[in-house]
Amino acid sequence: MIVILAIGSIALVIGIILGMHEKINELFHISPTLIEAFEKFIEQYIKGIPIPPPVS
Amino acid sequence: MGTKAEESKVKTFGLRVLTAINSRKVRLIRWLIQIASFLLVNGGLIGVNWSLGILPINQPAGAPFTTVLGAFDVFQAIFSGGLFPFLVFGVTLIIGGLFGRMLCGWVCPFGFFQDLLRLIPVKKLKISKPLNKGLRDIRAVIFWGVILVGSFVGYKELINQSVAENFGVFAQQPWTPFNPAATLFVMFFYMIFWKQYPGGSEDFAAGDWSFMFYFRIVILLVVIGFSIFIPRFYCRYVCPIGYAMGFTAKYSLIGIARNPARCTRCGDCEEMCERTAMQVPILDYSYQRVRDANCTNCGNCLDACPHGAIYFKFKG
Repeated sequence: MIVILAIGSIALVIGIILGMHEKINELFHISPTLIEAFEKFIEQYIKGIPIPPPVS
Repeated sequence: MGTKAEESKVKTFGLRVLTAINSRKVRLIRWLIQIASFLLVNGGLIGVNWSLGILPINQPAGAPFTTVLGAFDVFQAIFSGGLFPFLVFGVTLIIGGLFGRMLCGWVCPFGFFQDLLRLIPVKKLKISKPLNKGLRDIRAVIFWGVILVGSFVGYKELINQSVAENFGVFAQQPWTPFNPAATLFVMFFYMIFWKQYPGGSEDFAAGDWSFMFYFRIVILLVVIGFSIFIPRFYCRYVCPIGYAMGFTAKYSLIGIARNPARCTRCGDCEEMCERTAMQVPILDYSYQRVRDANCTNCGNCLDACPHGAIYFKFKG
């Protein structure tokens, strides 16, 4: 267990030093526009889908 | 003699009641943690937009509502880009070293989904031990296959002879297009959401509706179908991140052990594991520790043991 944790810690430190988190953020970055649209999409289910006015 | 026998019966009954209460607690705690984890990992659905980083669970990284990036998705993407995924490697080893495959049993959203499918009251299929062992090798084929493809694509990237186009959707993440969790949590979601997203229909490439689209649905349906009859079917025989975590599970800090003074080798634990989890041959291991790469520390065997002989051990 100690060996596993030691190797893991070393790998983690190397990853952070190499700035891999930035690379990951870059790869899996979701545009704010998409997030915003998604939030609106979810919001309508939370607040209720607006019922269109009756056709006169 | 008759009185003693009756006394013994009462004691056994009492023990069973106590074990049942205790087991219900364990089971209840696990269900609660699974529900909470599901909501937290898919935090965007309940308005949580934190980034909780990478976890070794089957959580597709492409979902706009996810707070966690599944380790295998990130691993594939980094590896296919010609880099060694130190960060994923580190996180996986540290979590594996501490908890073994506990996240599979307690946190993974797709594991939770399979646990829900297991509740469908149909007779579960019995898989013989040799067949079970053989089928588990599928995970190894998938894992090493992904490594092979990723290495090749990554190497070609490094020497500026990109073959990404030749591999199409498999270039960046060779396994993700097959991953039923990605189909369930991402593809179906986008199908509904994309129609309402401005410009979504343009972004949603026509190719996605082709053969691969239906192929993914078939894979998902097959996994769902089998998961109803074989508990944790995907975890047992398909999941590559579970396979990778198995390397650490044998030596992790937390594990399952048996008390030799209490264990009667009745087999209830193995039966429960077969019926609800990963079919680990618990009794084949020493009392000190169940060193099995497939044990997810779910605690179902603790529930099953009528003598309270099984317990969580906090020592590698």
